[in-house]
Amino acid sequence: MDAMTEPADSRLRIDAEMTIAAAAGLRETLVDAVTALPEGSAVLQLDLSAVHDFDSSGVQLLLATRRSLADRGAALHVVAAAAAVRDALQLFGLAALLAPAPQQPA
Amino acid sequence: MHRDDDAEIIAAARVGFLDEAADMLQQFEQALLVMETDPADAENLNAAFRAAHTIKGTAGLFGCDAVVAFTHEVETLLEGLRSGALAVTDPISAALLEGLDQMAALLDEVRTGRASAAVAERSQVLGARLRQLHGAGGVAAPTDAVHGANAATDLAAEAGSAGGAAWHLSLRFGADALRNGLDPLAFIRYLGTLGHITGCEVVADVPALADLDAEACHLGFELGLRSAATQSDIEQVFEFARDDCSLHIVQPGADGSAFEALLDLRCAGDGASAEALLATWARLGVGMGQLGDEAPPTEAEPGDTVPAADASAAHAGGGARNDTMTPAAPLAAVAARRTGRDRRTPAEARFVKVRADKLDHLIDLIGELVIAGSGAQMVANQEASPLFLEATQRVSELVQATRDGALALRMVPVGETFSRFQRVVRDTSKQLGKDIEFVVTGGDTELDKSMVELIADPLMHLVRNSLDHGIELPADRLAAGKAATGRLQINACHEGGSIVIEVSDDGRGLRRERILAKAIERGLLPEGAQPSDAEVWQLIFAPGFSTADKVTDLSGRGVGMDVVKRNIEALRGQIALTSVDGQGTRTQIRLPLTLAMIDGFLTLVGGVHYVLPLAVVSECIAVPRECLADPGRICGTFDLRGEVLPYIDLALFYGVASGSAGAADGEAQRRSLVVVRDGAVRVGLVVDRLLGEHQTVIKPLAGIFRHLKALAGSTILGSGDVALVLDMQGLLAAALQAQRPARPGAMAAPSLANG
Repeated sequence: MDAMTEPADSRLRIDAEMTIAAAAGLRETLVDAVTALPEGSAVLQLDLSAVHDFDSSGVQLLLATRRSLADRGAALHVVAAAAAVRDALQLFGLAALLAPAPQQPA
Repeated sequence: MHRDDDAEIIAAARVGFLDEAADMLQQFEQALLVMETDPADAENLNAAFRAAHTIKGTAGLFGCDAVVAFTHEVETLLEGLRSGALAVTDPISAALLEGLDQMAALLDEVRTGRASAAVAERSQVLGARLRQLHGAGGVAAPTDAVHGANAATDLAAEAGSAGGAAWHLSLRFGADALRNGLDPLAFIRYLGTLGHITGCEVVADVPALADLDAEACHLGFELGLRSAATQSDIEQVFEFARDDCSLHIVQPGADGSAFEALLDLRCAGDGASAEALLATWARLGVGMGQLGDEAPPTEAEPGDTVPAADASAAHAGGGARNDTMTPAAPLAAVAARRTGRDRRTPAEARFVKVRADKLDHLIDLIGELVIAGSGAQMVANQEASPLFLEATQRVSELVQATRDGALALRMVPVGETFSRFQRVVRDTSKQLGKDIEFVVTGGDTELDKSMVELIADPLMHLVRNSLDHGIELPADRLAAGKAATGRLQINACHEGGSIVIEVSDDGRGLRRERILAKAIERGLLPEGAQPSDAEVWQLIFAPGFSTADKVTDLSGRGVGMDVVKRNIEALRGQIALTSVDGQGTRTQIRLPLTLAMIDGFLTLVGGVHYVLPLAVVSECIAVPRECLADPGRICGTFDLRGEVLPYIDLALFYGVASGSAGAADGEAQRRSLVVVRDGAVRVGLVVDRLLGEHQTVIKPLAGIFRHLKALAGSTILGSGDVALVLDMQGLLAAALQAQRPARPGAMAAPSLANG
């Protein structure tokens, strides 16, 4: 899995497709990222600019990640998104995930 | 994957497809027949459409282009009827029924792999006719039932200029959707090509990462769509997701009740989710005022059990695709789709498709179990251990219950077979210019599946006889003082251990004198013979016998009734006729419930075990004196409490040395007489010993034993001995024949009960 966590910013970049084929593996990666979130961090930033293949399983992963973060009092912020990601989220009415300002935890 | 494996898999799937298509065709036919008599029944039109649609869809998967192309024409016409754009008329009904026949022919070609030019040409001709009926059909006056659908069409037309009407879609995908290769994203994108998606809200209960099954689908959607497309077009978008997705469409202009129904459907009394859904709809701007005050908070109270199926059927105005959905996970759509098809099935019934050979194997095993159980009981009896006896008794009870349960698996309601006659009656009565009402009663009565198949042809023959020769033309009926509409009835019921099926009509009946005359003419009876009524009716079953003036396409050639009788007797059944000249005819068929097993009464005759069907045993008595009076006599009569009954000495009948043969001093070993009953006829059977009840599997006798008199089969006792199963009808026939004074050419017709 091509993903690099930059410790300082709690930022995760995903360089692979986010489709059903990769879903199980990606889930692991995201679990690790969430667990590795340092105490006190309010935001996990996701860089999806290299995700050129994005399907509903990818959407689910984002929603699950958002929920996991919310459980810990943190939020999800997609800082960069490839066109595929952007289009999909728009279609689903989830453009809020792409909002520039970090979301308040639910 | 290996090419051969692919081909094999596809071939196997195709068989399943053809089976399913046959089912769908039958449902389609039923729906069309109902449509003729009740054109306003919107749900029935839906059912007809769904059946045709399913056939088209699956045929498409298998590349059966001829089927797809033709069925499309049928479907289009049905859609016209369903949406209220067309009215149901006679030409349309007739064309659809012919279309159904053509679909059957095309599917048959798929099955055999052979295509014929004649069939292809018919597809063209019929297709053109269907198209013409669709195009030429004016807008019908909307009936109450299709009012809602009509309103939607109007609205859609009005809103056409504005870019389309406002539809609301509620989608729930099943957990396996992603695994099955479906991507909600793709579907919604495609939906967008039909118009403009005004809003989309994801309704998803996606768990946290730790609990997430990343490959399962947790997504649902509430969407607003502005489109000029028809509802059918919108549904088509989700065609391939049908098994993994629950789609519910709310039509433009639907009122608040439609949304209430949808709320019930999706949330079923779960207050929290109902509130969430309402909030979602609010965000979507749904209904622009259709909700709001109209959704009372009481709807969302937890603990409310609203029957979702009723609500959606009542309110959704034809918008729901899966009528009998339960409000649970969208997975229910998969199961519900199957139950939704069979309108006769209560909402809770579910079916499993089982291979017939597996069922047969199970029944064989249970048969062996029955025998083994008997064996255990015999040993228990010998050991005379109370604990052992008790234990085997318990096992016996369970085995019996299992046996009954297994046999019940093979039982199907006869009504299914009867329903195929409806089409025949309709077509034939039209063809002959007669007006005939067809009534089926007792369709729930169950019969072994293999037997049901076998009685279909004999019954069809009887039905055709009534249609052709029995029921008169309307003019003749009126002249005779009858109602112009003739009545043809099939009735089925259980009686004793048998099933009785009656075909009756109120037509012209049979003319006793003509039959008698014909029989004498053919030498079946001597001149001046004076047979009883029952014997005259039985003459009908003689080969080549027909009193019909005209031989028609359908009947009258005289090749039917004897074949019918043979078929029925091959099933160990009986057939009898009664008739009143001018009033009608009734044919009664009596069949055992199953050919596989029998509750028997075991007897011993001359060291050989014989089994009688328990259902026919009336009583057992010590053998009366008069039966022993003449030692060499096989049959005779005896006195049973003042009544004279015939008897058969089984030992002499079967030529086995009786157990009492050694007692020369008249002190016969105590023999017994079993009185058996068949309808009103009773006969005594003299046996050596009575051995009590014995349930057993009947195995047919091998071919070389066929000539043996009055035997239905054989079975194995627990001790390992072979027992012979008596054929009661054969025995009784033999007894009664011996009764009559001998006449040249006499027909030994057992006097069966006159219904």
